[in-house]
Amino acid sequence: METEQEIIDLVVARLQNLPSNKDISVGSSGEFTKSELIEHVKKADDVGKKMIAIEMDFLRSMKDGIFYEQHSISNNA
Amino acid sequence: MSNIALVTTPSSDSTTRYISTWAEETTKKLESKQLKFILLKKDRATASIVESMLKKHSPSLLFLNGHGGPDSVCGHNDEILVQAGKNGIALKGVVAYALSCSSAKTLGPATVQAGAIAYIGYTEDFIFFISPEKMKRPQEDKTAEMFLAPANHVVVSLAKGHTTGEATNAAKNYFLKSIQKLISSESSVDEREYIRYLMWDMRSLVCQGDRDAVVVSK
Repeated sequence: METEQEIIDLVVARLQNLPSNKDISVGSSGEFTKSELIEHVKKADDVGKKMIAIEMDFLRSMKDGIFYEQHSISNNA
Repeated sequence: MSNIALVTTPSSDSTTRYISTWAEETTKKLESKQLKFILLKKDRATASIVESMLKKHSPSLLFLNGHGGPDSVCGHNDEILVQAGKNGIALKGVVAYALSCSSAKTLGPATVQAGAIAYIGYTEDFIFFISPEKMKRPQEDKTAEMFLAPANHVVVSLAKGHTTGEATNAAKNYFLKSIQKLISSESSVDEREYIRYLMWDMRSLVCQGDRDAVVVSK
């Protein structure tokens, strides 16, 4: 089981891969650059915890095979 | 059914400027459809104007763009437009779609209980990426498009006469197509990092209330 620090390190490593020339809008928390987000994750503050939650949700989704599901809709919706 | 859609497009910061620009571009492209759009732009996206227009026009769709939280959606300068337990009753008889953070957590169920036909929204923060050099022309931002085009597809689908459930699923499928495209070898390594955020937005999009409701009468 990962420790909290291992999870933080994982998320920081993933954020390092983000394009450096883009900002990210995190709802009402504001807009951030990649390096700002990394600092938030290291501090594990509210914004940082949100980024961690997103990564954990993504890892669970991969395990569940969500990439291949289709949501049932009628044609031309 | 009024076949009228009331749309709030505040523009107080980068995030609201982006989502509002994309909402306005989407409604422009839908002008030929049966749904008539009334836009409350910038400083007209206020609680008093929204309430007054709801009473005047009895829209079948209320499309809210703006910051928000679990129990509220905001307009210009983050003024609260709709809040659970306060004026959710104003959405009675309306289908609402909120491109706003987390409002489907508490506000959505509360408005449905207060008589809204359906509430489509997000249970978590809506995340998207911005190209700073496109800040003055958000509609040309191809990176933001990956997120905002699927998000606005709810309205596109509703305007075509699809039900609230169908429109929600159509938007989710649009997110999924963006994700599947990024998985392919055509995308760059750093673009593939967007996948987790698209997935986050896709999974948090929900439809509460009547999933068979429509906003245009045929």
